[in-house]
Amino acid sequence: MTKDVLTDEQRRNFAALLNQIIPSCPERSLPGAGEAGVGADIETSFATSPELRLVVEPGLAAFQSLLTSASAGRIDDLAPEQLATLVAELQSQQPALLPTLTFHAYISYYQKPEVQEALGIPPRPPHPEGYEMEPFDDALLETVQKRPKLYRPA
Amino acid sequence: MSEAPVDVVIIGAGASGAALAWSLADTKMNILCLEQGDWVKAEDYPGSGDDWEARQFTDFGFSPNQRGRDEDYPVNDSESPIHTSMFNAVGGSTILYAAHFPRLHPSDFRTKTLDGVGEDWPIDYQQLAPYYDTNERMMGVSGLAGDPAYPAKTPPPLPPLPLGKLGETLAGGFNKLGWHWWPSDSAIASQDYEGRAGCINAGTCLVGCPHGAKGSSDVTYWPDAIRQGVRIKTHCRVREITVDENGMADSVIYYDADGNEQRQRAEIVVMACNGIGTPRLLLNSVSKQFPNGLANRSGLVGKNLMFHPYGLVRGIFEEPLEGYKGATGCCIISKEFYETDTARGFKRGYSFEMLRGMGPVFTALSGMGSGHIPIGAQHHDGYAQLFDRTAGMVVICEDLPEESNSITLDPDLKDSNGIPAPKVNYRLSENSRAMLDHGVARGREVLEAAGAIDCMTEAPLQPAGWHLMGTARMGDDPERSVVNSWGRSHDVRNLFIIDGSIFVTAGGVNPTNTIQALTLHIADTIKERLATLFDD
Repeated sequence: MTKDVLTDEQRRNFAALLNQIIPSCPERSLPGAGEAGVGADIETSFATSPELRLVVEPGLAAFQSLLTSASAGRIDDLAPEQLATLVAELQSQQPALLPTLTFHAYISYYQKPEVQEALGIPPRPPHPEGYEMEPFDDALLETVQKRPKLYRPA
Repeated sequence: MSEAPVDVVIIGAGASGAALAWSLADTKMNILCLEQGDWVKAEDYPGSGDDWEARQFTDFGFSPNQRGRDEDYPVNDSESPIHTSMFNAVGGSTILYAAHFPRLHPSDFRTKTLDGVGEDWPIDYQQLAPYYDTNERMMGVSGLAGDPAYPAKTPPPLPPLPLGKLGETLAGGFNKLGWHWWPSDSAIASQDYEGRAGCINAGTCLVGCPHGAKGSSDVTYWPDAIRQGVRIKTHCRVREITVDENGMADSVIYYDADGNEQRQRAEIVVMACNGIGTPRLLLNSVSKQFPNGLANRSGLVGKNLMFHPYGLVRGIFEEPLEGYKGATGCCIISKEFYETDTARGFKRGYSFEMLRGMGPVFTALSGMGSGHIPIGAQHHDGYAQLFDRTAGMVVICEDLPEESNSITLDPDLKDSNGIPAPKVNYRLSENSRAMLDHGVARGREVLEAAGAIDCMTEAPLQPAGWHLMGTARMGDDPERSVVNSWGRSHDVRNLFIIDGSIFVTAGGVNPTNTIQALTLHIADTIKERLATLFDD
């Protein structure tokens, strides 16, 4: 299986759906999940996770049908509240879709460097730089050190 | 095909197999270790990639069922409230362990005498103390001398790991309540040590340490053992141990990396497959002399399985805690409720071990599970409430031995070589349940005293079957135990077991330090008795 599983139109709709799961938040400099490229990550995962594809593909087809009924398939024509209503309908039709997408969207979104930078942490893997920490200060232990022994001799 | 005979064959290259190989190496015996996994190279670890957290759900997950690597064997734990965690590689489960490295307490060896529960061990704390010392030196333990929860002991070779803002916050909670805490004894080098780099506080311990600071046995014991001539053959999965007409172990049958069946003859066979792998292999080794499994005349092989039931308590704080920094599982430990106080409604006790915070991905998934992080318009507010604002602890309860908790062979499930897989038969006892409830309630008190504004709890923690003990226990009575006080099978005089399966009781602390100390004790006894090793 290749990465090119979805059509361009399906990808646009998929991104819009992902933006409903994690919307953008301009005041925190955070993109929506669709804007951040989460859809492409999930599409790539189809190759190693056929069970994911089995949930997402029919889910997106159902989403497409709902869009066609609501706006002749043009997602850009929908007001945000109309889109939210569609997503709620999708959830009732495809109960496995949103929990599955949410799990994978959270994993993909929060490992993106631009998201981590907006969260205020270094936008890089932990290794090899690691993090600076102050050495242990045993002044904190003053009261514990005065305690009698806690163990039972045996 | 039959390989040239060796003096000693060790099955399993994890915590105990490595320690035994190192200790026996100075005898210059011909020692071979068969390991079903491979070496894990620094570049294999997830810690240098953006997807390092996500790989805990795939190839670096705790569960062999989830990972499904070629070297993993399946475990049927579907009916158990606690699921199995392990790793198959040179280094075994120390590759993924937190490296929390406490000792058992003196009372842990005498639970029957002191509290009327469990069984007494055939050895005691004082006998093991010098082996704990050696092991802590070899594994590179960081810690602080003077803990009133223990008898005086040799100071750890390295100073303690940093607590960070998170650890200091939690320590403040314990201090406010007047409860015991102490910086964890951790097999993580706080400074450069014996060729290993000091910890850089990356926090990737549970998916392995690409830096080499964490003392997994592939970077501690094995290099020295190999320098002294011990050999390891990887991707070798043992199917059974055979016996000769005298009832002595004479060979192991295994599948090599190409799936070909091989026979390795040996004078001494040592099992180091831990609390599930060891009984599985013994039960699969059926012969005319041992129709119920090798070394199983007592009927106790696979019985008395003990986990440490874990409770998880996580608090939400108002201020950032920098919890993504630092060794994941090694921060501070508390023994306030470790020793028996029957007024609490249960026998024996538990430890608290503090956890660091969660990385960005785990924060999201944890919040998804707890309902704190919804999808949609409130998502970012929910996330901001949790990210870098949680600190937690686990309650590690002492499980008591019960014969009904056991490892058996699954009638249907098999590994990729067609070898019957193990099945976990386990229920949580009333004593363990009462202990968990007590621990979770006290854990909430600590977190609230430290400033938590809300708490989340889970008990028992389902994926927490890291500690696998008791399924081939040691003892002086062949009717009540599988091996003697120095790890030799009562039934097969050249068969030794050195892993967590020989534990008599579980204590309430992580077992690796004790597994390895026991191994060093067994290795020393083998060396002392070499001329008469197989005598009655």
